[in-house]
Amino acid sequence: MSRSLPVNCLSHQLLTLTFAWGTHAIWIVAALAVLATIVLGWSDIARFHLGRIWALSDTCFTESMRRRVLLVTPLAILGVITVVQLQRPSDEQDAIRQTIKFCLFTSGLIVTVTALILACTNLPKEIETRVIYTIVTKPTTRLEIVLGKVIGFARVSGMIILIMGIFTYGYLELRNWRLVRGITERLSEEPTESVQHAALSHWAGRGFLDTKSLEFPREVGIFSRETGPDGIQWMAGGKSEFFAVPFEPTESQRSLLLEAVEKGAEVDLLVTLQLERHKPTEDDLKMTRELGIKNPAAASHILGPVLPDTRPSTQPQDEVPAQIKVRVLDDQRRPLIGFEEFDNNSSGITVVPPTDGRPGAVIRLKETLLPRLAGARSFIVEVSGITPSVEFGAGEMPVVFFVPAAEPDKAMIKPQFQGGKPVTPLFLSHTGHRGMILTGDPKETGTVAVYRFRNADVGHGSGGKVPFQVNLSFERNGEFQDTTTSFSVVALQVRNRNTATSSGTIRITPEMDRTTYFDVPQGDVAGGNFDVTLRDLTAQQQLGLELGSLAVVTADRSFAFNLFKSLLVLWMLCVLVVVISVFCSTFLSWPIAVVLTLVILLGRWGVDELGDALNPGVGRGVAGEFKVTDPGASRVVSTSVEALARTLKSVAVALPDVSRFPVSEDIERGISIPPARLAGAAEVLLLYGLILISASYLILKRKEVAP
Amino acid sequence: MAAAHHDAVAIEGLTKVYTDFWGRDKVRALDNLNLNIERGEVFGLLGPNGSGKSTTIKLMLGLIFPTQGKATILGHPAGSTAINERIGFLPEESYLYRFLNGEETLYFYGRLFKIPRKELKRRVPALLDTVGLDAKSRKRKLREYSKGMARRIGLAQALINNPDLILLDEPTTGLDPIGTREMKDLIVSLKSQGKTVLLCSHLLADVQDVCDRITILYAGRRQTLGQVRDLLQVKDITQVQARGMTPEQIAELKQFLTRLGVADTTITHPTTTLEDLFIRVVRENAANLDNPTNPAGGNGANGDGRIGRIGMPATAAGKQAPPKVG
Repeated sequence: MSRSLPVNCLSHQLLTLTFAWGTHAIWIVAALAVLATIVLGWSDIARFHLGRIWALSDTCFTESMRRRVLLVTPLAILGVITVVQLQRPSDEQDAIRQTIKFCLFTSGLIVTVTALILACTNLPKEIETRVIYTIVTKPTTRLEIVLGKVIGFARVSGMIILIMGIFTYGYLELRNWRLVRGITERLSEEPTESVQHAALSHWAGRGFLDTKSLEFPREVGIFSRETGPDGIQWMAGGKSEFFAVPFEPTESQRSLLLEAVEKGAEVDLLVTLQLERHKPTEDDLKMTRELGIKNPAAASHILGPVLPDTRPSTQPQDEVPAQIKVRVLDDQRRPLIGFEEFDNNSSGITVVPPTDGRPGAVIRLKETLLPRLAGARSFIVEVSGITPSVEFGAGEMPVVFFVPAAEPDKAMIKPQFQGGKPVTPLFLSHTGHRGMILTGDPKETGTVAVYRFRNADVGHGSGGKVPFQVNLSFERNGEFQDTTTSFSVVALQVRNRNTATSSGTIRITPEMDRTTYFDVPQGDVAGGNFDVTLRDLTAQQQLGLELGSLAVVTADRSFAFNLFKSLLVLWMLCVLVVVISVFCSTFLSWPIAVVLTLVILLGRWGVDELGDALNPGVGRGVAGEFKVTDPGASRVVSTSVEALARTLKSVAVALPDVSRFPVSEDIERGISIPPARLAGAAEVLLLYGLILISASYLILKRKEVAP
Repeated sequence: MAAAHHDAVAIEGLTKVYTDFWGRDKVRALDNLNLNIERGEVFGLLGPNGSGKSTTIKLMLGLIFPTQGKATILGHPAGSTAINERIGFLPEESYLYRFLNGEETLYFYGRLFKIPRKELKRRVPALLDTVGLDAKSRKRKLREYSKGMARRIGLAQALINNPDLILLDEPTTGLDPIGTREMKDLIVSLKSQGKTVLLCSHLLADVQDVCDRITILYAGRRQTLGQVRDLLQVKDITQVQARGMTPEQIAELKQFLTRLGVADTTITHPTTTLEDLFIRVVRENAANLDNPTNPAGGNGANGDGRIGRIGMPATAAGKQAPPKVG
C-alpha cells in the first residue's frame, strides 16, 4: 500500500521534476467545494455550534460502545498472539519486525473495517428507522449532522486504535525483553572473535526496538564510471543503465507540435552522446549477436538536417555499432511513446561516430506520435545504452526536439530548466526484484552508484564520527564461483563537495536485507553537501539499490513516540474511511455505500497496481487475446478497451492516494517517521475531507429524509 | 391567502406529489391545501389513513419538500432550522435512540437546543415527572420500554425546549385509557400556557375532547374546517338535562311538551363514557390497594408509574393538571 520516497526512488526523482498537476487540481476542487458550501449553506454555517456537533458525535460513540464494538479488540489481540507464535522468523530482528507488522496490520484491518461498517450503516439506518425525524426537526443543521457523524466514528476509531496501540507497545516490549535475554545467553557462549559476536553485542545492548532518525540522500545515480571534471556523465551499454531527461514544453511549443502535424512537417529528436569503446569480451560479443545489433548501413531511420547522410559512411564496417533505445514517458512514468515506436522494432538506434564534434542520433518522429507529445504537459525522454563494450557519455542537454518554426529560437524544445540551467539528466538503471540493479565488479573503477546528499542535516555524531547505515539486497547468478568467502564486499567513499575532502575507501561486508553500520569522520560530511559512492566488488553479483538503501543516522528516537506517530497515521486513514463512508451513505443504501467506499478508497491503488497493463496498446492486446480477426470488430474492441483504460486512469487520479498513509513501513525498519509523512497523510485527509464533507452536506441538505 | 401575523401556521396551496425513480408522478399525497392555525389554539388534523395528515406534518417540519405552495411556521418558512428552536414534535411512533436511557435521551435532545447543563438538570427530572416516568424506568434503555413508555419519553423530548408550537402525530397511539387521559390533560394544560398544539389523529374522541378547531382531510384535500362545537352541533334538536327527577315528574314533562306541540320527544338517562367508567374503576381499586389496612395493600406502581398518579385531583378537560414545563 505504500509508495514513498526512500523505497521508490525512481518514481520520486522523476516525478519531482515534473508538474504535479493532480495535486494542484484536487486543491482547486477542495476550494470550490468549500466555496459552494459557503454560498449555498451560509445560513447553516452561521448557526454552526460545536456543542451540537459534539452531542451528535456522543450518540455515535455511545451507540458503538453499547453495541460492544470494542469486543473486536480482544479477538484481534488473540489473533495476533496466535499468529506470532506460528511465525518462523529468520532471526531476532526479523521476529520483532514481523511482530510489528502483524500488530499494525491487524490494528489497521479491524479499525478500518469497523469504521467502514459503522459509518456506512449509521445514516441509512437512522433514515430507515426514522430516528432522523427527531434530529432534523431540532435546530440541527445538516452540516452539523455530517460533522457529528464523522467526529463520532473518528472517536470510535481512536478508541480502538488506543487499545490496540497499548497492546502493541506492551507486547513488543515483552517480546523485545525475551529476545534480548536469549541474545545475552547466546553471547556468553559465543567466542569474541566470531563473526556474529559484534552483531549480538549490538542487539544485546540496544535491543530490537531502537528507532533512528535518518537523513536520506536527495538522489541516487548509477554510472559506468565516476563523473570527471568535464561534467560528462557515463552509462554502460548492455547493463540495464539509462538516463532520463525531463521536458515541460510551453504552450507555444505544444502548438508548434500540433501545427507540424497539420502541415505534415518533420519533427526530429536529437540525442547527442559521446562514445567510448572498449575491447569487447566474449560475453559482450555473444550478447551483441543475441541482441541482433547490426551495422548502421541497415539503419534506415538515421535522418535529419543536423547529421548529413554521408556520416554513416565514417563507421568502420568491422566495428560493433553503438546502439541506444529511446522511449518517452508521461509525468506518471507511463509510456507515451514506446521503444518499438522509435526504432520500428529493430535492435536499436545507432549512434553515429563523431565527425563534426556532435556525435549522436537523429530520430524522425512519426506524425502519429506528435499529438501524444503535444498533449502532455510534461514528459520524460529515457535513453538506454544497448551495445555492450560501449560507454555512452552525456553532457548538458543530451536530448532536444527540433520543430519547424518561423523563429529559430522557438524551433528547439529544450529539457526542463531549474534555476536558469537545464536539469541534469538522471542516470539510473532498470529496476529488478530488489531495486535498481548495480552490477558487481571486482575492479574498483567499475560501475558505481552515487548517493548525493545536499544540505543534509547530519546531526552531531558522536566522538567526531557520523554513523551511516546501509541496507542492501543482492542476487548472485548461477555462475557465481567465489568459494573463498560467502560474504559480499562493498566499497564506499564519502566526498565532501564543500571541502573537496574525501574519506578513504571503506569496505563493508553487508548481509542480505540486514542493516550494516559504518562511521565516517565528521569533517567528511560537514556542511551537508557530499556524495557517497558505492561499488559492489563481488563478481557475478547484482545489488538491488533504493534511494533509502543508504542514509545518515542523525539521532536515536523513542520507539513509543514512533509507534504513536504510526498509529496517528492509521487514525487519519480511518477518519478518511469514515468521511468517504458518510458521504456514500448520504445517497445510497448501506450495502452499496460499503462497496462504493471501498472503490473510492482502493481505486487509485488498484489502477496503480495494474500499471503498464493500462498503457496505450492494451486495446490491441485484448483484441489479439480474444482472437478478433475481423478488422472492424478488432478496431471497435481495441478502441473501447483503450477508452476504458483511459477512463480508469483519469478517474483514479481523482481518487485519494492511500499510499500516503504508510502505517508500518518506517517503524518496521526502525526508522523514525519523519514529519513529512504525517503532513502527507494530513494533506490527503484535509483535501478529501473538505470535498466529501461539503458534498455530503449539500446532498443531505436537499435530501428528503422521510422515506 | 396572506399569512396573518398572529397565525402560528399558515399553509398556502401546499401540494406534494411523490415521484418514482424516473421522476414520474406516483402519488398526489396533498393537493392544494390551504390552512391557518391561530396561536394558542388546539387544532385537530383529521382524516383516514392516506389522507395526507402525516405528509402535511412532514412538510411543515422540512422532512420532505413541497411540490408546490408554501407553509409558514411562526412567521418563518417551514423547514428552516432557526424555527425548529420553537417547535416540539412527537412523531407517530417514538423514533428515538434505543441504546440511550430516558434521562440520556432528554439530555441529548436538550444539548441540541443548546440548553445549559444546569438548566437541563432542573428541566429533565421535571419533564420525566410530567410524562410519568419514575426513577427506575428513566434509567432503563429505551429498547426495554413498553410502547406506552416510549410515547411518554417521546412526548418529553418534544417538550424539552418549552416550544411555542407542538406537533403531535397520533399522540395517544399505544397508550392505555389512563395514559390517553393524561395526554389529553397535558394538551389542555399546554393550551392554558398559551402554546399552540397541532394534533394529528384518527381517534376522533380524543380530538373532540381537546381541540378547538379541526379540519378533515380526504385524498389529500381539505374537506371541512371549523370550530368543533359548531361542526358537531345538531341544530334542530334541543337537550334539557336535570338531576333527580321522579318518574311522575318525567311523565308530566312529556305531557307538557306534547301540549306545546313538540314532536319526537325522547326522555332517557344519559350514559357516561367508557373512558370515564374505566378511570373510576381503576381509581377506586388503586385507593383500596394503597390503604394500609387492606390486606392486599401497598402501591401497585408498575414501570410506567401511572397507577401512582391515578389518585391525583381531576381537572377540567382531563382529570389532573400536569406541572408547567419550561
